Amino acid sequence: MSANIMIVDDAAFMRMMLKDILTKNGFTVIGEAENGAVALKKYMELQPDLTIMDITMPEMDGLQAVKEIRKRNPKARIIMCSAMGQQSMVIEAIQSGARDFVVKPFQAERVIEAITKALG
Amino acid sequence: MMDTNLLILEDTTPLEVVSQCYKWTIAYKKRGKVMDMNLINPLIISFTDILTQFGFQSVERLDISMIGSTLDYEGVLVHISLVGKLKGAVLIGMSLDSAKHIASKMMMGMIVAEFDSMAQSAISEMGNMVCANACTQFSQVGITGLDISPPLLLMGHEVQAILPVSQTVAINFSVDSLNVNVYVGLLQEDSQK
Repeated sequence: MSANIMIVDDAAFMRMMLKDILTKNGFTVIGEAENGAVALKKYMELQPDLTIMDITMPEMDGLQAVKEIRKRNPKARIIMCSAMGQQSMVIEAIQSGARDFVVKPFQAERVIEAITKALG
Repeated sequence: MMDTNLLILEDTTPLEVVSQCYKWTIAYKKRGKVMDMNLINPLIISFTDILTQFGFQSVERLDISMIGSTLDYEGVLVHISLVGKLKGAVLIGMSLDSAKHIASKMMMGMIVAEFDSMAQSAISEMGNMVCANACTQFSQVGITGLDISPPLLLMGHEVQAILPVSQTVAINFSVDSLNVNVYVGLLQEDSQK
């Protein structure tokens, strides 16, 4: 499966790890953002097939960014990828429009499974 | 008394640790201090769990001690604030060499000769994962709605940090023989008055 994906995470390390997993599995990383505000701008510019979004980030957090992106594109496919795995956080993410929630630290297979399901 | 105590809890069972924590809590409450020592358990579980998931073979808790609000450190320190029903800070400290080893493990064994921006980001993310996982642990015992700040990474030589709480618990771990300290200074919302 091939798709254009945007990675949003304030940690350069995490963006590198995700990019490595995605490219090894045939996906194209068309953009990266280090916070929700930059993600919103880049989303409108790049129109990715799918966005992988962290939650805890400076300026605008991932939950707010999901809401803002979904306001502009209700069909936007977004997967949350965060260490904040509390039930309340997962529910809020899904209610905001995220398709899935991957808890860090993650296995590559779990990320690919979530992407495949969201794109399917 | 307790302010200067270094309690060595080697070879203790989890039950004995909990028991000791209760004794500390009672002693502190009697003296007008309010940090509940049971708050350290989710951090111990979380740190052990996350570091094991990175591929470390042995994550062993060694000593637990009480320190005041001043923390002397050497090397690398990750600071994360907690907000919500619990407020305060969690810090994870280690030497520069230990930080490079941990970053290397997190990067699938990539050689980390310099503690560069990518290695710094990995160590910050480790702090983020430990604290976020601890929030999940807290939520399972009814302390819900916690949130954490993005990590702040401090590096230095003979540096002193002043923490926002009067008492801090220092937990010393051996991570595949690397020495790592977790400092927990948390107060429950209703006990801050």
